[in-house]
Amino acid sequence: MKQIVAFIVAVPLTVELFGALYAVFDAWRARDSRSDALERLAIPMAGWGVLWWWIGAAGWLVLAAAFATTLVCHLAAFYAVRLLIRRSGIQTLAIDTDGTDEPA
Amino acid sequence: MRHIVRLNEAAPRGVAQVGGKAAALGELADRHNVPDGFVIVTQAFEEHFERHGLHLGDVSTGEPGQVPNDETVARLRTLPLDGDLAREVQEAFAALPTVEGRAPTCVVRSSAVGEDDLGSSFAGQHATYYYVDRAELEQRIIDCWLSAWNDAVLSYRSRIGANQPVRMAVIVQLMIPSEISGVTFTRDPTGRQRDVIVIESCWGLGAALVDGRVTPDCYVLRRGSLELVERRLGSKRFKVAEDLLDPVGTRLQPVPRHLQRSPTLNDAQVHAVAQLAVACEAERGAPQDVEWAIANGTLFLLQSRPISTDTREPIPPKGRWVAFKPILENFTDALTPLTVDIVRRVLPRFGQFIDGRYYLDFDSVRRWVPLRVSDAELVELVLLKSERSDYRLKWTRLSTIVGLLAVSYVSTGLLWVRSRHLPFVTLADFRKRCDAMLANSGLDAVATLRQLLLGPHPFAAASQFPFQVNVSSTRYFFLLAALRWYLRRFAPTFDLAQIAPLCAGTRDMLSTRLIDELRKTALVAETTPAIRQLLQSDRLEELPNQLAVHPAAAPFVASFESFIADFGHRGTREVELAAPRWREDPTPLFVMIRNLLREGFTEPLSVQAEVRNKQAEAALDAALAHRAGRHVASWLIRRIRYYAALRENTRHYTMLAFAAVRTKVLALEQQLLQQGLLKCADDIFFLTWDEIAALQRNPDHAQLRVRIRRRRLAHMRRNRMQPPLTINVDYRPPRRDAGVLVGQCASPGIAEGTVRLVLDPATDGEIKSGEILVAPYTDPAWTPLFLGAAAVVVETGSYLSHAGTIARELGIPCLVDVAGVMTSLRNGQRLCVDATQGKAFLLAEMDSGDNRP
Repeated sequence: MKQIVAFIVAVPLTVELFGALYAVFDAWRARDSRSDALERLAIPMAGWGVLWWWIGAAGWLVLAAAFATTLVCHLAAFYAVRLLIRRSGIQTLAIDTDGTDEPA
Repeated sequence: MRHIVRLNEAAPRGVAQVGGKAAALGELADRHNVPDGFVIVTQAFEEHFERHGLHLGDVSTGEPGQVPNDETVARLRTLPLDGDLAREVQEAFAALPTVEGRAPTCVVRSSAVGEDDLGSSFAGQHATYYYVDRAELEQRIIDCWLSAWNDAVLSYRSRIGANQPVRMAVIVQLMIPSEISGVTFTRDPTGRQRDVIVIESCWGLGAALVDGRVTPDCYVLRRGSLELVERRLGSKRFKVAEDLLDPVGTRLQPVPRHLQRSPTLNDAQVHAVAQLAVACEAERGAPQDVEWAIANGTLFLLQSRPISTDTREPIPPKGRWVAFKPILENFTDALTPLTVDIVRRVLPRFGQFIDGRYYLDFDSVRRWVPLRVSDAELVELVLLKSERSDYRLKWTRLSTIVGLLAVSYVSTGLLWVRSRHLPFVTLADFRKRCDAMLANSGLDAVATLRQLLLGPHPFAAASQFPFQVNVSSTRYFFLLAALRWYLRRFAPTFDLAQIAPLCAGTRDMLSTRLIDELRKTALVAETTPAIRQLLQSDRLEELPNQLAVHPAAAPFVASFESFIADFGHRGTREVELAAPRWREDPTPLFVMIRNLLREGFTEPLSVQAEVRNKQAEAALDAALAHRAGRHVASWLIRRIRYYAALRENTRHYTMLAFAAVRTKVLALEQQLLQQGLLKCADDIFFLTWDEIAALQRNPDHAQLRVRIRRRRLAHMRRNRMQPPLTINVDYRPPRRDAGVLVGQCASPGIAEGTVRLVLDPATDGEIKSGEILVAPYTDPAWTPLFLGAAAVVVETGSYLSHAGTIARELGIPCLVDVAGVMTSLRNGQRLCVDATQGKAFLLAEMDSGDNRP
């Protein structure tokens, strides 16, 4: 049960941590923003630390699973959109109510 | 003369001999000002083609004749008129009156049997030739006859089931050098309005209108009283010139910029044209479609035919639809077919393009919104019109939605976290990506848009996909709602109208930087008298060439080029791929600079906004007693300001993607024009992506050329119509009281001033200090017009739309979503805008002293 709760808490924490890491990467080109971006890592990292402390060192697998879930969901969402958008079946339709497009 | 009859004697010869058009015109020629001319009867047509071996069928039995193939048509085109006929034609031409001592030029047009009947019009499908002189007259008569078998006519004949033998007379009429031309319908041809007369007009000859090359001005009058009830100005960018001085020149010429959005007709002319049409209807005994022209102040009747009913039945869309406000509020025109086709290929099916406008599936929206609301209430919510906060939740639906939100948080949450504190300066990296896509010749326009909107790979920097970041900035809306609720609850004495200046004042917002940068360029112009003088010219389109050679222009040019480097990809209607960008046509910017020079310079926009911002913050501090409470409010305000700027800035870069796609489309268009596959510039925007591919594979794809014309006309028709907010949904917008305009407050305040209707800032970009800007929609190209305005009233839009954002930055009242404002107001009227109450009151009409609408 503890592990399930830990997993449920770990997933959004991972999203926050992963997102904050990405944000450091995004901000790196703007010299003035680097330190702020690094500072914003503190809260999600602390959250991860507290969670790991709570489930114990042996619970690393739960945290790794949460990390993998987030990563897979992110990758899946990215590639799924790319693949699906190429399928004419799910693309937006366009209609002309005045019959402009019927064969001439 | 056996084959020729004078136009005013044509009617008694009957339709079988002179065709429908000439018979009708001959009947009216006695009583109206019809240009002089003659008709070559159908017998000449029969004799000419039968002599050259073409079997034309039998009129008495209805046996259809032979349809010549392209080869036969080419051969027939080279065969001259019979000697007797040629002599008769030349004699008739010689009998026409001379014009200022010179031999006249003529119009050669068809008058086929069956043409201009009640059931068919063939409008613009048979050939018409202008500026025809004596030397080319005979050949043009043959060309006109042969147009009876062109693709458009054959297709139209087949569609309306007209398979009787072809017989065509030809009208040769004096060419009227019309400054203004148009068409009047004595009944609304679309059948949407009852008891009205509709007048459409354009500059120059009417061919531009009939071919759908210009969006004409539209005047709607009540039948009987002839009271003008609606006046909608079109974008008349081109005209068919009244006089072709250069015989090899192109017919389609640009209209000077200051005339593009000027009304073609004054009130007296509107009435004269309407009366002419009413008289034609009375004489002909049926609703008429009357073509007319005005030359040297004289009104001429060119044609009168019964209004034909299009046999193509409208296809009502299945399902229920509601307009997608975020697009509608920035862009009310229908998109061209190519833009729709490219954009739809990168959008998943959350909605549908209907007649060039994007609609959401109302039933899907109902499925996902977890509120107990009626259809009408839901429409108000989707259209961002509702100000209610007491909706009841549907708990069963809520659990499903929370589950789905959780899944989407895990899959897209990274983007939402990353865009919380994105440094705006990094977004500029997107330019490099756009440049790389442009340089990649292997990517077509659709693939380019797809790449630029979706990002290159899952680990790319956020600056590489500004469109998705833009979507994530909608948090602005929820934070704003939270701030309103918080202040209502914890600072009851605080005036909620002050939220607007409180959340304004973002130095990083590119829309306000655009103004400040343009202001800098205007300051450079102010210090150079020669440039100031050049900017006063009526022909600003020539300014780039003049600047290039002017010795004192270097500092201005440098400043202007720096502006174009940052903002040149922007312009009006920027989602529309057919719309030119500022870097292609910088004339609108010159108009804006001239506006700035005339109105004088105030503090930069960002500085003005910060001053108002500080005042509002002081008021908030006074209203919120607790320090902790001030912290919460301050956090919400900071976040709202950030997301407002993120929304505007990511939109700025997303438009870079659209500009890149336009560049690719234009390159393709150039290629097709060079290959002769397209006839005119802009034709490409009236094809779909697949059709362009088909055209490249099969250069003889004649059907497409028919479609282009049909779509141009449909596009023109759609742009004249107010887009319906809902389709198949029972929703009626609230009724308005006479003299009171009702909308939504986007920036609070009260102001009084003179109405200034502006349809397009590119052609109509001058506004005097203290005038009230009234616009159909706004985007960044409109921003400079806000500077001098006392208030802004916009037909579409919401609190979050561009008009609201900029008005709040400037601290001027702004009323948005005011239905019908463009047709119910006129220039010169006095208007009091009480944006805080969401209303505007018509005070009185003033003499504006100009001829603007």
